[in-house]
Amino acid sequence: MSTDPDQDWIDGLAGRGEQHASPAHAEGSLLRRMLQAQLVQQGTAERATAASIATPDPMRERSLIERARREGLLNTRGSGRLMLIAAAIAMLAVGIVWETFMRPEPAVVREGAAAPVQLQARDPAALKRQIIDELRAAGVEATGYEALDVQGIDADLPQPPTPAVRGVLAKHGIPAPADGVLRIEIRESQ
Amino acid sequence: MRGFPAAPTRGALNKNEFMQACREGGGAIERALRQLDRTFFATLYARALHTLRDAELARDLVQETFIKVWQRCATFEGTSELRPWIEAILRHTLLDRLRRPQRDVPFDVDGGLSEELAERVFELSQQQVQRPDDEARQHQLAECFQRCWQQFEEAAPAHAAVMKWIVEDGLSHEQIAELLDRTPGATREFISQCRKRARVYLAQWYELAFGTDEVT
Repeated sequence: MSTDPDQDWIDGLAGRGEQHASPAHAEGSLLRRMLQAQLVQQGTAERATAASIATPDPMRERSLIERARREGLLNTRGSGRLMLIAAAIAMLAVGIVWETFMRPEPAVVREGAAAPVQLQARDPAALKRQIIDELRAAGVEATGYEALDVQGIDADLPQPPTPAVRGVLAKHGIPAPADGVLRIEIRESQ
Repeated sequence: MRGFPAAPTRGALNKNEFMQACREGGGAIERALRQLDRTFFATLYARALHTLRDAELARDLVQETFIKVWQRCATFEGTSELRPWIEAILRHTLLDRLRRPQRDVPFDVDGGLSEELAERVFELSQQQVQRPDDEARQHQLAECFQRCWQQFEEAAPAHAAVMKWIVEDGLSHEQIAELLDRTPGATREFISQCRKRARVYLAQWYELAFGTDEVT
């Protein structure tokens, strides 16, 4: 038994120390018993949830890789020469982005089969939430993400798209992706 | 750490492959990230979902965890298995997230448990009296605890999460300080707050379980 009731309590909670050492220890031990029972139930629920998760999930993996790229993880390791090349590529990318933003562009640009659909909005985050909500209401599992200046959405669409999904896409002027993999990037309108 | 039984995942990432990828960098990083997702996403997501109760937040948090795993890969020395090391990073990330919208619910400084009731808890624990002794009352008490604990989790999610981890892994004071990234003094204060807040939110359960006409 220590002279610190909080220490006794945490010892009881952690399952350390002599049983019934002090009131605080008894209180911690009691809580421990109740929480242990809860953890058993929680473990069962978590295993059921984990079993329902698709693995591998190419969509999820791609989203992770893209995020790693945005965080600079895939460019920051390696030799100094590689670092210089990465820096040069980054500068080139900045130049391209600058050029891109200097020119007027349509609200929606499909850049190719694998390129994300580009949208512009006054409030990109709000539009992202709206589209995600609408896609989910249409039965699509959509995931949102956020980069420095881009709000993004990834979703696997049913093939062929259901009328409800087509309605959502049409509403926002988004062409239906041929492969069912929908990727959207939303930037603030100029 | 409670963790999950090691599910046989095809292409599962082991610690040697992880350390090798960390050293190599380049394309190995991308492969390792994919393997991380295949090996650990489901279990980490289930855990994050239970704590956050929001599927999108949980997905995002696990992804953030994987990014941190890679950012810290050079600190993994391979003395433990990969899973507990990654789960510890998940816990840090969860705590960061839980602290963000912290609702500071005012609570009684002395806690919600009267001295008399605290004494009663102690007396019963010394006598090893099994109360309650009938199944219906056990059920009632379990329900009451569940309800009180849920309110506690909603009001003080970081405190509730840390308390569960202490029960789960028997964390020492030093381990709690490391988890919280706080000084020993600040950690003692956090633990004290855990106890006081739990007393407030679990007061109804204490009363039901141990209260008597004399003490209530």
